[in-house]
Amino acid sequence: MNTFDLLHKRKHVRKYKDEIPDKKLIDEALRQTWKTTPTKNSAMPYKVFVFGPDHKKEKELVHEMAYNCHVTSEKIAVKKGLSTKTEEGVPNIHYEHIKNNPYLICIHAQPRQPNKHYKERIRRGMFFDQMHESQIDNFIDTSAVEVGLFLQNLTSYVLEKGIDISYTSCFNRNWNEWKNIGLKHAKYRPIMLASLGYAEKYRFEEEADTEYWKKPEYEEMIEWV
Amino acid sequence: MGMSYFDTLENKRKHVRKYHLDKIPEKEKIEKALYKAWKTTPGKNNAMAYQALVWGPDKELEKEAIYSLIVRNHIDAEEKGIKLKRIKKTQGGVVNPYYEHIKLNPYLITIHGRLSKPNRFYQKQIDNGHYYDQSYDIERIIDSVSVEVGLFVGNLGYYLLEEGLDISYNSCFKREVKDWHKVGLTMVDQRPITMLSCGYAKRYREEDIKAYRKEGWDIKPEMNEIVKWI
Repeated sequence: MNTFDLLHKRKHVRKYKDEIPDKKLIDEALRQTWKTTPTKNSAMPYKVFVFGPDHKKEKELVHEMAYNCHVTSEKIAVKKGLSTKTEEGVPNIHYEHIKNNPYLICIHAQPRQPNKHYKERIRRGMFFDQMHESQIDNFIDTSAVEVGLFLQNLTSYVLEKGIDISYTSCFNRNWNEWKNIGLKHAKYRPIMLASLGYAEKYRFEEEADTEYWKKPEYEEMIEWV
Repeated sequence: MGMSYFDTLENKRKHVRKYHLDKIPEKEKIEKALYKAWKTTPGKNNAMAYQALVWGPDKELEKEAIYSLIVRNHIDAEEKGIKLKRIKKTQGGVVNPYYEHIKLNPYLITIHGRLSKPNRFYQKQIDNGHYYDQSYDIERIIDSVSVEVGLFVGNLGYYLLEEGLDISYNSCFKREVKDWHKVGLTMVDQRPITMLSCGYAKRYREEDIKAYRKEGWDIKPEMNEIVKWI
């Protein structure tokens, strides 16, 4: 199958099978991704944490955080007058892939030291902002674009191996909140979550009317200047 | 049988030092890649809160203006580094030659934020109390939108490579719309997130590195520094 057909078939997972993909396959996909993902100043200012099948407790905590983030954002929206009411805490079933999966990937920001080339450039006066903890929030858009590039490549490699992937970007960005509930794997703010496994059921099976939940038209997204 | 996804990225994607400006890729190739990227890139709440602006071969002045925003940003970043006491001196305004692909290319694609309207499904969710934040201030959700832009340009870049074209990315530029307006780019009404150029390469950055005998200097962090199994 060519890449377009493969990516076109990617669907959000409602439920994963109990069958666990071989760790070697995940590791190979991650290695291919690392090898082929470009990065500004060769810095890769993020870190990818992989929670395997035996980390159920941690996945439950991350899921709880996603749920709480959803509820809180609705309350804030009402307070600011952007919404008239909340969903009253009804859990979004499409976050469940975060707690029930063989592998959960959490990508966090990470300051990086320059390589030999950039050390030389810094000596000449270049500002290498990726090495400074205090600058993380200032270049979070750049880091997040790179995380997207990384995830896109990872997606292609896992799909090639017959493994499904789903994403979530609803979670608390404040790393202290993660630490407070017992998640201490990282040192810096999270950027994105993804789960991996073999799908038992996809979201679209429950919402088959694609016209009803379609994405914006091509013409809204692309403009020739 | 075409080249695999891995081989395409590993062997064909290289930062471009100079494009052939007399060899313009057919517009249809760019359109095909853009269509495929749009079709296969997922978005939270199906919002896709960004927009791709395509600057074709006749937009030389506009590309010059965008390039000026990159040079300005680079200089400002170094001055900021001095202010923050992170560096002792600047490079004195020396322009990075690897930004040149932004002004001298057949096609430049800049990606900007876009306020999104909910589809029927999400409109119903909103009626039930769902907060659809992609309709409001993009700056508040810039990390989430930027990840999606990364997914989009990752796909777009791959499809362009498949068409036999070269691509290069850039993320050094002025983020504020008012700066774009100051240099005459008044058609831009949302903050930029990233950009990439495409065309046929005449020379790659790696050729410069070889010529300077600096192979092995500019390497990315090792795999075990990027990926950690818990």
